[in-house]
Formats: sequence, structure tokens, C-alpha cells
Amino acid sequence: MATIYLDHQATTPMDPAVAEAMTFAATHCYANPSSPHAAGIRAFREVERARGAVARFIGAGRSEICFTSGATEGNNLAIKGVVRPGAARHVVTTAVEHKSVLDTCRSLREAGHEVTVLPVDEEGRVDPGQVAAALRPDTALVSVMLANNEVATVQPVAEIGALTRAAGVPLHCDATQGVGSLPVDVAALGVDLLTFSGHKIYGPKGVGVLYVANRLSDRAPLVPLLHGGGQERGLRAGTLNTAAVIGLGAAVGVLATGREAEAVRLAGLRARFLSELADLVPYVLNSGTGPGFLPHAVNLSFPGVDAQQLLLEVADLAVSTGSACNSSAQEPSHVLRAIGLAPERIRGSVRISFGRFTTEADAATAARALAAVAAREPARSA
Amino acid sequence: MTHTTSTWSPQVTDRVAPLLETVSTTSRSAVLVAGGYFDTAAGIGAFSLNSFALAQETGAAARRLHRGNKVLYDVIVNDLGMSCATDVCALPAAAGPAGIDLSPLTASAAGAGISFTVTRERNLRNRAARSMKRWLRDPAARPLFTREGDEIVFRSRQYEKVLAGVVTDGHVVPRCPLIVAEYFARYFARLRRAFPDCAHRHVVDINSLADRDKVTKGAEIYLRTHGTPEEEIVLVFADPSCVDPLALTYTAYDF
Repeated sequence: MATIYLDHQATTPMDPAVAEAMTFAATHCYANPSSPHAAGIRAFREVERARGAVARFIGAGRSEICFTSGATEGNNLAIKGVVRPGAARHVVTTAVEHKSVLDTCRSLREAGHEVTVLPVDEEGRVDPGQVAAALRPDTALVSVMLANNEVATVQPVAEIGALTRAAGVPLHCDATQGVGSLPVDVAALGVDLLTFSGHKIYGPKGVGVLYVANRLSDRAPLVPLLHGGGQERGLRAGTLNTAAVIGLGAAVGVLATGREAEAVRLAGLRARFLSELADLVPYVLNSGTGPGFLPHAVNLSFPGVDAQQLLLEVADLAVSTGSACNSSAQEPSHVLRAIGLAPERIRGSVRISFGRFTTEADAATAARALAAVAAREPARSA
Repeated sequence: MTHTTSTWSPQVTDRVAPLLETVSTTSRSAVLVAGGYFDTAAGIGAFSLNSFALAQETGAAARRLHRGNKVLYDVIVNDLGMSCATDVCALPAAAGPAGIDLSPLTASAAGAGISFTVTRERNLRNRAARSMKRWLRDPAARPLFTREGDEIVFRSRQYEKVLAGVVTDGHVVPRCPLIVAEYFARYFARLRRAFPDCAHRHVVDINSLADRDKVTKGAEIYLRTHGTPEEEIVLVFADPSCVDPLALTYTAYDF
């Protein structure tokens, strides 16, 4: 049996259209896009087309798009770029952010800045009222993700954006998990900074996007992390990864054509998977599956089952026991702890996420495979 | 502007189709095509002749896209003796010769049945200098420019730094991006005046490959300081043969 890949929150397989665009780029757009010859200008033109596609996709201007190596770099640049060295400032974020946000904030704290990490409710959602209450005169930035990578909770970013805009505080949104299945419009969200990566939307790894609103950069340009050739308006020095950028542009193009219909299809696959599973083995949901949650993902626990042991027993199925980025940390998920799950339930948690190439048969087969092992695991543990 | 063409006239060749990609086929456009650029010191060479031919082909194709389209042609002459590189420009004291022999271009235009205007960069430079001198007296009038010592810097949204001019003894010496912006200002104004009933205005500017940065910076300066939603700049870059021109399109929305 071929592996059934149900770990699309960790990364997605590359779409064939992206691979084709990157092959073209590798053979036809290999020149440095900054070079002043025809080959360089041709590469530059393709990079700018990709930039335009990304800009249209999120309702931004072309000059507001900066290409990075991925969401981790984008998050670092967004946060450290706004909270510049010097006088101590204050940053607000939430307890369920990705590690690339939380660890960046931790580094700011070590540098003498103050960080408020807001709690979330049992669904993993932050209260906009708490964000408003946390704002101070010296608050330099609020950072709230669009959707969570472990429990799929969609955050009320637009509500928070209205509050931060009124307070004159820049808002950063890590949209890495939401941009593939939710409509993302930077104006509607009210964000000043937004980040995502290519490999979560069937594009290449090693490339990402940082949106910086012109209204922010005109007033106070971000402080770059990398210095050198002045690429990306001086915000991110280094020769552009042209093939990856072009691949990202292609990925965005594919996504833009059918995102809503695909979200409905994926929600259907998830429902089929859960229905099949319910007939075979008891489980409890750690994430919601209705409005306010990503349509393609679910986090659940099998009572009395150690998820890591479970995955060892399940062949040909790619799912995750938590954030893949954090899976080597050997510590319980900070997100599942933040929503108040007991340690036993965290130990039994499995994250399943469906994607573009998942079929209904895949969903049913995966449910049966997990159920078969989960049904015998408690007895073995006992 | 977001108007696009869905079907191409069979008379539009592959070479010029990308240059006119955004010219409407459903409403009238005024198009200025700038080709034939040359330096007075070097005279009219292969790039000038070939880019002028490309301009003519582009203009003829633009006319075919919509029966109401209006097309003008212009040749920019570098009579400044300015040498440009990617990130520096130098102004030698001596300018080019006073007399300019345009006969090869005139003959080409006659063969194509068109007329063209000539724009001297010295005039553009002087206009830009006057404009910046007014700015020096009232910097708040154009907040996108800032004074950094002797330098006048444009606050670009695509480049780390755009040097617009240098102040020397109370006089402003405009740098290339500002001169290019002056060109766009002059010709969009001309299109507006001449063809007020055209819904869209395009300047198709054919450049040598080496001029990429200065014209791109100039396009940004114009579009952000004077550009309107109806205006679009198509920057075309080509080698001396002009066989495979590359087009980059900019509107005010891009910035």
C-alpha cells in the first residue's frame, strides 16, 4: 500500500503545476534577477510576476511583498524588524503561536523588552478584549496567528486588527496555516505584517512571504536581519531564490482558482474520516470541526493510547502527534497544554490533516488503519 | 489599471504583443511609444535604429487593437554626456555637440508614414532641476523626497535608496531617476492634453538593458508623485538588435 499522506499541516506535496514552473525557472530563469542583462531582466520579470500574483492573492500592493526563506524567517523579520534595538518596548502575543513567533518573542525578552503572552480558551482562541486590555503606550507590536497548526482554531484576527488599528499599534499575523484554505485579505484583516510559507500551499520549501504594509514601512522601515546587496528594498539581502519564488507564484495561482470549493471538499473528507472512525473505536476531539476551525484538519486522542506508540504500529500512514516542528522536543505540545488538555490526553493526541490529493478512499482507509491499532493499544498498555 | 485583452489581433506580432498586453481592446487608449534613443556623443547606432523600428511596430499594433486608439512617437536624445551604471551616475562638465543629425531616424519615420518628436535630456534635466529647487524652498510639498546632507533622496518602495539629486552651491543637479520621471510627467501631460477623451494612457518606453534601474526608479517617482489610475508605464528592455524585447508594466497601484 502506498503511504497515505495526512500531515498537510506540517507540509504539503508539491503541485505538478508548481514543479513545472520551477523546472522552467531552473532552465530559463537561472540568471541573477538583479543583473543588468537580458537573462537577468527575464528572471526579474518572472519574479515580479510571482510578486504580483502573491500581492493580488492577499489584496496587497506589489511593493508590499518581500520574499523570504519561509515563515520562520518572515516571523523573525516581522517581529525583530519592528521591535528595534534601543529603548525597551512591549510585545503582545498568544500562548498558541508557532515556535518561530514565541521563541522570537523570548529572544526579545532576553534583550530587555517585555512580552505579554495571552492565554486562550479551551478551543485555542484568544479573546480580542484581552488583546485590547494588554495594549500599553509602549506596545510596539501585536502578533496573532491566523489559524493554529495543531488544533486548527481560526483566530479573530479582523476583530483584533480593528482594535490595534484604533490604538495605532502594528499587527502581525502568521498566516501560514490559514492561507491555504481561508480567504486572506490584508485590508479586511487589518494587519500591517503578514507571513506565510510556500510549502504549506503545495509550493516549494525554502521560500516564504512577508507582507509589510506601506503605511507601516513608510513611517518606520523594518530593521533588516540580513545585510548585503540591498535586495527586497534592503529588507532582506541575498540573491533571490528565483526558482522557488516562481514556484510560489505558481502555487498561489493554483490556490486562487479553487480554494473555496476545495475547502468544502476537504471538510467532507474529514467528516467521512471521523464517521468511519466513530464506528470502529472511541476517540475524543481536541479540536473543533465547525465554523471557526480550518476545514481540512482535526486533532483527536484515543483514550488510554500513547500516540507515539500508535504511530509506530500504523504502517503506510503519515500523520503527526503534534506540531512537526516541535516533534523532536520531547515535551508535550505547548498548544495542547494551553487549551488545558490533561497530560494523558496530550499523550494520545494525533493530528490529521487532509489535502489536495487526498481521496475519500484514503480517508476511509486511514480511519480503519488507525482504529485497528488504537483498538488493541489500551490492552497492550495495560 | 486592470483592463486586459482577451484576444489578440492576428496582426500583432509575438515581438510586440507583450508590450501591449494591457492595452484595452474595448475602449480608447492614448499611447506614446518612445524608441530610437541615442547619445549625441556616439550618434545614431544599431540600438537607436532597431528600437525606433520596434517603436513603429508597437505603435502600429496599438492602433489595430482599437480603432479609436491614438499613438505618438518620441525619440529621447541624451545630450548630457551622462554616463550611467547600475548604482552611480556621473556628470562630466562638457555636454555633447550642439547639432544633432537625425536623418537616419527621419528616413525611417518617413518610410513608415509617421512623425515623431525629439526630447533632449538636457531640457528634462533643467525642468527637473527647477522643480527640485522649488521643493528645496518647500520640502513639505513633496514629502516623498528627503534631504540627507547634500543628497536629495526619494523614499522608494522598491529600492533601498534612490538618489534623486545632489545640491551643490544652492543648485540642484538632478540624477537619472528624476530626469526619467520628468520625461514621464511631460509625456503623460501631453497625452492628457492631446487626447482627453481616451480612457487610458500608456507610455511604452524602449530602453537599453543597462538603463533598467534608472528608468524603473524614474517610473516609480512619476507614478507615486503624479500618476493616476488611468496611466501605465511599460518599460521595455532590449539589446541592440531589439529582437527579443522584455516588457515590465507599472501602474501607480504597484507601489
